[in-house]
Amino acid sequence: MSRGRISRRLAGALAQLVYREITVQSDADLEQGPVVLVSNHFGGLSDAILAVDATPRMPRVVARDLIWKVPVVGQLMTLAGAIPVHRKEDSGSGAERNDAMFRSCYEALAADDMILIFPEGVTQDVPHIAEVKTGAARIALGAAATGVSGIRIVPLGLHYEDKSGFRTRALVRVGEAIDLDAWSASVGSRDAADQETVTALTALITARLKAAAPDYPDWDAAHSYEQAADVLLHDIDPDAAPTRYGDVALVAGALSEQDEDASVLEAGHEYRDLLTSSRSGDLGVAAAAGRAVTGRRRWWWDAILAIILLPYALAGLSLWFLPWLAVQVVKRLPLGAAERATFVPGTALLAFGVEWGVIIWQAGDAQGWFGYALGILLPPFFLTAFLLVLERTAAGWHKLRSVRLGRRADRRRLVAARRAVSKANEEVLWTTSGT
Amino acid sequence: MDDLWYVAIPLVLVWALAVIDILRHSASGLSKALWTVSCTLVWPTIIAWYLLRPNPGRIALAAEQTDDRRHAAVVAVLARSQGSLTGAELRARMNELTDTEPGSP
Repeated sequence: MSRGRISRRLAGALAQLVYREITVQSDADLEQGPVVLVSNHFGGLSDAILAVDATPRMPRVVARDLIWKVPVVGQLMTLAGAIPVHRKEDSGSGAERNDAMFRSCYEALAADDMILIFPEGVTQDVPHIAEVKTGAARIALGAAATGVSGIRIVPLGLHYEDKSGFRTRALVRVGEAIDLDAWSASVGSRDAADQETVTALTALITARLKAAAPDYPDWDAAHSYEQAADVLLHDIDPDAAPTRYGDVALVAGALSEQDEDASVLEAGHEYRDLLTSSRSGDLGVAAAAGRAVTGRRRWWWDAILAIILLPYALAGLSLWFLPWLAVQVVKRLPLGAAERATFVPGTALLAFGVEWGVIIWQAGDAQGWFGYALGILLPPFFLTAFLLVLERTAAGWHKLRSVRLGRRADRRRLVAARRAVSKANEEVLWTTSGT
Repeated sequence: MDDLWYVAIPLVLVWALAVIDILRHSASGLSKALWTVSCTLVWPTIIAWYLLRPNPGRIALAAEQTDDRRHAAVVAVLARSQGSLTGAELRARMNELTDTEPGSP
């Protein structure tokens, strides 16, 4: 197995461990050809893991050279074929040393590889794109100048339910690609040294990336639009099954884009505050408002599954308690959300990996090849059982809480606030902008 | 999912009988063997199936033909924001997807 495939499998396993649901929206064919993936950078290491997991082949990640100085992670970056970028702020001599980075990128694109770059430079803690640097445009134009044809620049929007959480949900949205040959022909230039050409291409990359990535003024607005999107999806289908985060994030983005007078934002914000203060959920309010909440989700199937899996879940708890605890501790450290988004998956990789290694070694030591086989195969199943039982129980508890409505006065206010959100959604999406 | 029942129900019964037998301190060799087999092979296999089955979260929005009404609504809303549906068409589509109009009690 090639190094690229090993790295992709590793990133895939880590993504499945850290996220309980990943939705990928993609109409682009990323299987072949030279591709420059440009992604928003809200979540540090999480961004790279999600992007690698969502794409069909291993991209060469362009990352800050500082990462190579972190033990284990540095070796993994080398194994994954990542390309170091030297920033003047980090090493004091960025420009000269980056010639090697540009050469590596040109060679990768000439070999029909895919490279992944975070053109904002550093991790952002706001839910919108910061200033996009010119690196991606210069790499693409420079490679084209060396004779590489058919380069596509593909924006990748990474949306997180909670970027610093563990076992949360995410959406990867692949945006509209830029065909570099067609674009160069339309502007009449493909010179990487021409500032005007680089600026124009960077502006186009920014626009495409903004369309794919979250674009909210702040996190409060992001959550308010997500609340409004949840209402819209429950209005369409008031099933007790939770809405998929990918669906919520996509509708929230569309609402935000068209909400010129901020009516959805205000209604969503007020309704979300009321839900939080009354510890209720939207489905409970929908039921109180007269929506017939259906229950296609088979709770009894979940209950049977949980009972069957309980012994294995307990085995999983005993085997994986320490790594799980380590991740929970890191999640609660007084760090910024962006730092936690790096440390949580990093700790998961390290702690779960080391624990698994110890189990395999111990089992093999005691039982020979049979022990090695059991040590490799069984612990992941036990971990799955543990996470499954834990999450299904939590989901059941959340469902119980979500149908609680508290006092009668709260109920009336909640129903009125929900109705305001539905009305605002309707006006923004299909009444005001009518035809 | 229904096919799984034909496998899961007998397995659950066998597993339950073996557990009861073991708990009664009169575990027969067969019960111990069943317990061992279910612990080492059967349940991990079912968990593996559960883990490796097609993940409903991994979907492409290009697949517009879907029974999932919420997902169909997302596709329609995105089409509206990209300008390929008018407001009136989106309204009609949303009404198609739900029995009553959104927002109505």
